[in-house]
Amino acid sequence: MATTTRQLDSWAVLRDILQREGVARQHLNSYNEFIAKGLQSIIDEIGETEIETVSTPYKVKFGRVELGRPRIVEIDGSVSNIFPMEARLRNLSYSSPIYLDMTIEEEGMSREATRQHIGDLPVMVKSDLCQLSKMSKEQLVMSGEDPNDAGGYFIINGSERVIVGLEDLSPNKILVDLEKVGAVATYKARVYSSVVGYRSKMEVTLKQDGSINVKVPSCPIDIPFVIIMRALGFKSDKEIANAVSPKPEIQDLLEVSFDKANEAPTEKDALVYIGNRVAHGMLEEYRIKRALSMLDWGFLPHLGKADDRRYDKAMFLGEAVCKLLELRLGWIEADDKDHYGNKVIKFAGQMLADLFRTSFRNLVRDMKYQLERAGQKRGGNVVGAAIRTGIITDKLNNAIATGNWGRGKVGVTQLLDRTNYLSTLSHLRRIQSPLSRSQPNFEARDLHATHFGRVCPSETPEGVNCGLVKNLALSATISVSVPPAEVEERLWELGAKSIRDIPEKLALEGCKIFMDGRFIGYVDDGERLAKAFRKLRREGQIHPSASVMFYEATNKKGYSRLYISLSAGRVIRPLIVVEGGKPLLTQEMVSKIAANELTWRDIVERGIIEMLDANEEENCLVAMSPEEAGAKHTHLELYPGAMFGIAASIIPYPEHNQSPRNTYESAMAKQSLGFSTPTFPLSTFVRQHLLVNPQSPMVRTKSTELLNIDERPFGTNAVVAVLSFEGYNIEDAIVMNKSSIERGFARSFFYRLYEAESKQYLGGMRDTFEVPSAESNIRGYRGEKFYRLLEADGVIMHEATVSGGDAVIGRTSPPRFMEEYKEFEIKGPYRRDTSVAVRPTETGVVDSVFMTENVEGGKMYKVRVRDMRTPEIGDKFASRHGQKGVVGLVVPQEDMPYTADGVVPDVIINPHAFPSRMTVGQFIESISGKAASLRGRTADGTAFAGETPDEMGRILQEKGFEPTGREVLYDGKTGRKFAVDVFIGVVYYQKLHHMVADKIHARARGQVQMLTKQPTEGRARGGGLRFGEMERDCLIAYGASMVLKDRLLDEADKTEINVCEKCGLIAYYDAKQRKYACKIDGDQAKISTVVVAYAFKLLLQEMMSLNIAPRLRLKDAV
Amino acid sequence: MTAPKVKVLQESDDEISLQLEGVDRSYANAVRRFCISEVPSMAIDDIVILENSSVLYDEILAHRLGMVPLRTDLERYVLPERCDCGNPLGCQKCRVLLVLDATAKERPRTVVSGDLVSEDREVCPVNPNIPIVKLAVGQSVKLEAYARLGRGKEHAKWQPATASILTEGKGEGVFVLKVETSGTMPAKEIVARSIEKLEEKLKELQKEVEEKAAQ
Amino acid sequence: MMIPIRCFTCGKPIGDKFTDFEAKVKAGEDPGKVLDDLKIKRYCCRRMLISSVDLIDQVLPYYAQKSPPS
Repeated sequence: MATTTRQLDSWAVLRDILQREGVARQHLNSYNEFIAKGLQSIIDEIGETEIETVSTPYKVKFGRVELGRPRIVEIDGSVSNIFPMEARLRNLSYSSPIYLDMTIEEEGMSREATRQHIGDLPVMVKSDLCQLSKMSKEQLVMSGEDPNDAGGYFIINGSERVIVGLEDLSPNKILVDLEKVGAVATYKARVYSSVVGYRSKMEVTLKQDGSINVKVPSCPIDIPFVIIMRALGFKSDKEIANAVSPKPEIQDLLEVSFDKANEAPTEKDALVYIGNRVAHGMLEEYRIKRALSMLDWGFLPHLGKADDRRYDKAMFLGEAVCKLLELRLGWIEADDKDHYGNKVIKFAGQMLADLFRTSFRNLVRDMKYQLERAGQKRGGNVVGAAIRTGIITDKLNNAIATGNWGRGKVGVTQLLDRTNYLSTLSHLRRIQSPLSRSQPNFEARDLHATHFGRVCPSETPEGVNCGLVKNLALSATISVSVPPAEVEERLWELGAKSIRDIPEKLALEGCKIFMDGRFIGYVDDGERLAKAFRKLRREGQIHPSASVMFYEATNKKGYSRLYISLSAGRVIRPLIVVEGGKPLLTQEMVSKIAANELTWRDIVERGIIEMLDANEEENCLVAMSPEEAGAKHTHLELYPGAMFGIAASIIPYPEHNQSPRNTYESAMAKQSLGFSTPTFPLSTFVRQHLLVNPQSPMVRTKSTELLNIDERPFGTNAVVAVLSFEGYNIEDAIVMNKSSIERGFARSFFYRLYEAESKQYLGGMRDTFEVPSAESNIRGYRGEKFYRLLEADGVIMHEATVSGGDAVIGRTSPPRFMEEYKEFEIKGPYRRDTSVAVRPTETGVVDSVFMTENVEGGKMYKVRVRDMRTPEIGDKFASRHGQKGVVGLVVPQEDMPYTADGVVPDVIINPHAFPSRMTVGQFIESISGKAASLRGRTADGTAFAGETPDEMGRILQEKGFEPTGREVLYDGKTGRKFAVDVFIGVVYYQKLHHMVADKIHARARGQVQMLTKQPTEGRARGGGLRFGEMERDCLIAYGASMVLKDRLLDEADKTEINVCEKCGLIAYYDAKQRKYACKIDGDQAKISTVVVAYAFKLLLQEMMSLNIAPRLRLKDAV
Repeated sequence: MTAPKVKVLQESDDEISLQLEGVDRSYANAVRRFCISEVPSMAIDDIVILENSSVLYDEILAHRLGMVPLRTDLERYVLPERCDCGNPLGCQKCRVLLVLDATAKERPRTVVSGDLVSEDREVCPVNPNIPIVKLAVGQSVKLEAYARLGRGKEHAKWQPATASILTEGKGEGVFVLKVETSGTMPAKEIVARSIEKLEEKLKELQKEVEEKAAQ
Repeated sequence: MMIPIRCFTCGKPIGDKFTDFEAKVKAGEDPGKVLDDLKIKRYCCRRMLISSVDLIDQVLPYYAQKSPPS
């Protein structure tokens, strides 16, 4: 292959990373960490609960938590282990029981230990808890699972839900910022202090007058900084000032703050001051207690909750003030909130931790209440009876099923996109920003330099979510958390000094060290320490996920700072280490990786490639190619093409396209039909498509192989000519060869699932599956012909051809209200027809019928109807370059243009599609595709590394074609040669899921709405097409008043109402007395019949209901 | 106009190249087009599925069977609409029954076009090695397929020519007509039949004109 | 699902050549040459053989496990 060896080979490393880890690794790591550690730490945090009974109070202590295998408890109480496939089919939740060891402790003595089931935890598919993670490919197939499924999602009530990665500001990091409102500048330092499942924001503000205040969430009013320091136990002013900084320039700025704190000169005063604000009007003793608990629990919780952490908290606050003042002095610059080093991504583990924390607290509170009510009775059985497992199970299931995380957080989970394989993978690598989509947030939407290699520059939606929804780049990995203890040990060994005991000189000139948001100490030379740290990491002595960043102040007077990050959720990416201008990665190593003799982990451990986060990259100089690498370079890009995400990586020659075109294609690839899973014969997705004859692209990219697109393609290679064709491809329409369509080009199936279950009602009645019969008094009986295809069990037969309205599952239900016996109804009890029928606009063939049982033990049927779709006028197609269009004409083969070899294009697109859009990539793909077909081997169109158009042109020339891709074409209708040569080649075309069959709609007569008597809206209800305001304007402009009246009144909601001319209110016809009557004017009434719109009549009556009397003044029409 | 002159440039089983001289382009092109759309050929059109436990749906199976090129004898068969039998199911003259009965008993198997058993030995798949469906152990396909004559303009499966190309030859008014067959009948027969059909069409037109002009 | 019987573009029967093509390419022969030997000249037909994916091979294993013939 003509690509340079370097690019080809380092791809092998990247491939190894992605294939070993899988595309959903970030979800799995996050979830696995949660079940391994997070769960236990949340329980330990609560630890125990005291049961206050009248006689002898006791405690229930919580011990070890353990998770069982995914299982389901049937209605009869039997328990069976399940696989995801069963959960999907039976609408179950794939979850595991949580068991917790509890000890009853009375008067300091352990009495009884029990293990209790406290609830069920949804299991992430392919996580450590999931059966599938331990199975081989063959075993997966045996259990009906897709061996190439990435996992990383949950199954709740049978539907697959993904917890989309949530982008968040880095926790525990002091970020300083300058906010200008007019001429008033406010300096702010913010910290989001977070522990597992809990976060508290602290904000330090420097006002125009020089005062510094601290905002803490549990306190409604800002507290002066000095007062907090005093409350935290810092006695002298000097101590406080030095905690900020011994530098005189900084201390000068503290004067105002000290002045403002005069009212609370001692620790006790300070505590009372705070107490007054958090617990106003209480006893002083209690106020102090509350102030202390606020400082220990609500203030900077990430530094700990014990009272011995107050010193650390004060030092941390001092540092926040220091940084704030350095910004004020212009020594440092404001932090960039959009820098990817200041962001972390939260996945399922962190999100579930939030939920579990609150639901576990609720469980404990409920348990305590139950036990206290139980009084004297105690012991393991009583405790067991006091646990309501539903509290945790329902909360977790509900949140994942709806995406509703509480506190206004909605849309956290999404239904996994199964349109095609690529869209599933892309969905699993999606990242959401919590920023509001209604505000502009321009900077947050912009592509940032630190996104390189972490977030795809192309793949983002258009419109409101643009730039807020992102996708991980191929090279991006998410860090895992590193245990801090050993790393801290290393730092002391390397000469760091703890903040507990700092020589003044170091505090003046030294470099501050932060570890995961904890201010731990100083070191004389930060740069030296950073280098030493990196050396240790490259030697494998420090975890590769740990990162170090040395920050040097722009002004010499400012402090330098060293940040060590060990947290999970940072986006890291692999880079080759360069030493002395030489990359450490050798040809030999890559060959070994390609041959599977070495893994990427091995070379990471040997310090040959490094996983860097955006912060550490700030200390690096990264070369794009080995030739470029010089003495100053620290790293080399592993593979530049990996800067793209999954969807963009399938675009051939993207570097030749105008960038928005790649964005459009990234969105469209996810709508193209293909082969999403080999389990499709048994899959029960509500809607699903299948392309019958998909092909792998002739012009591929490196990721085609990586993402298994060869096995799961989503398009067809079409012979495409660029030519105008009788005007039928104007405005991006495409002309298609009728014969190609008949031979199976872009043929697809559409599946729709219908389901029905039998519910049990109060009073022992059930839904029954049966063929509703005309004789047996059934309400809502549709007529015999709609049930003709049902078999004796009430369910339709296989391979039956169905169309709109045909019942596929016959079912009757008991009456809704039991008391509903009407006076004149002599027929007695009745049942309702609740059969499930085919959607009114759809047709198809019954593909499969599933019969099973749901959790409640009710019988459940799922019927899948398939419909074959051959391309027709109006179907949407797109190439991989954002060039979409609908079929404008289907042309018989003999009328199509042909080449001298007898090639007739499948698709003809209009030349006007190119000049303004500049999708040169499509031209190159066309040439490459043709050349590749001729030589018999697919072409490589990977970004920055593909086979060049020149190379492919040369192949064309060798095979006797023009290197430009042009050919002589003859007009099929006349047999005449076209005056110019025509550009023709092979381009990969995708059939998108927007098909006319799903959209075509017209109405002559039909349903009307009950309330307004106007035609219904929407295709599904056979609705009318709105004759809107602008259309109305046109008719007025034409003076076509009869047409106007016809559309807006006669054919809409025309009604006649009776109006009393005297009072102007609506009158009525009294049927008993056979006369028109008006309640107000009685005999004096003069009543006329008026034609109005029913909506108008409704308006009058609605106004009357509001105590307004709308009176109509009638006049005779002239 | 000079009398038409034809020279065979090249001829093989599945391809013929003719140099036409003294033929108007519109005639030549009409012949080319008729090779695709008007010359009838045999293809399976109707199938009765008795059993299909394969992975392929009935629709796909039907489509695949339809695409299998069958040997066509235009002397013995007529288009159903021209047949005098009047039977909607067809008769010996206008349809051929092919039967497919295949089961994968011990090991998976690929059902090929050769497994189709035709009632007329002359009307059989051109190539017996065309894969129809792959069966897993225990799966089987049992069906009756009815083949009939049809035209390419109706459906691509009835196109006898896989390529029908009219290019310009050397010299003024010289054309080259190249026809490649799918195997249903020899390439030269396609051309001959095409001309025959063109003539037929013109005859019909003539008749129509005469009738209308007489009124 | 399975190799189309004919080339989408021109209608040339190619389904019968797929097994042969696959086997020879797997054995290490140059695919371009194999196609030439099979007398598949046009690029439309060639791309059919090169790029077709037999989905049925991925689906069949799910049926293979099911009960052997009784």
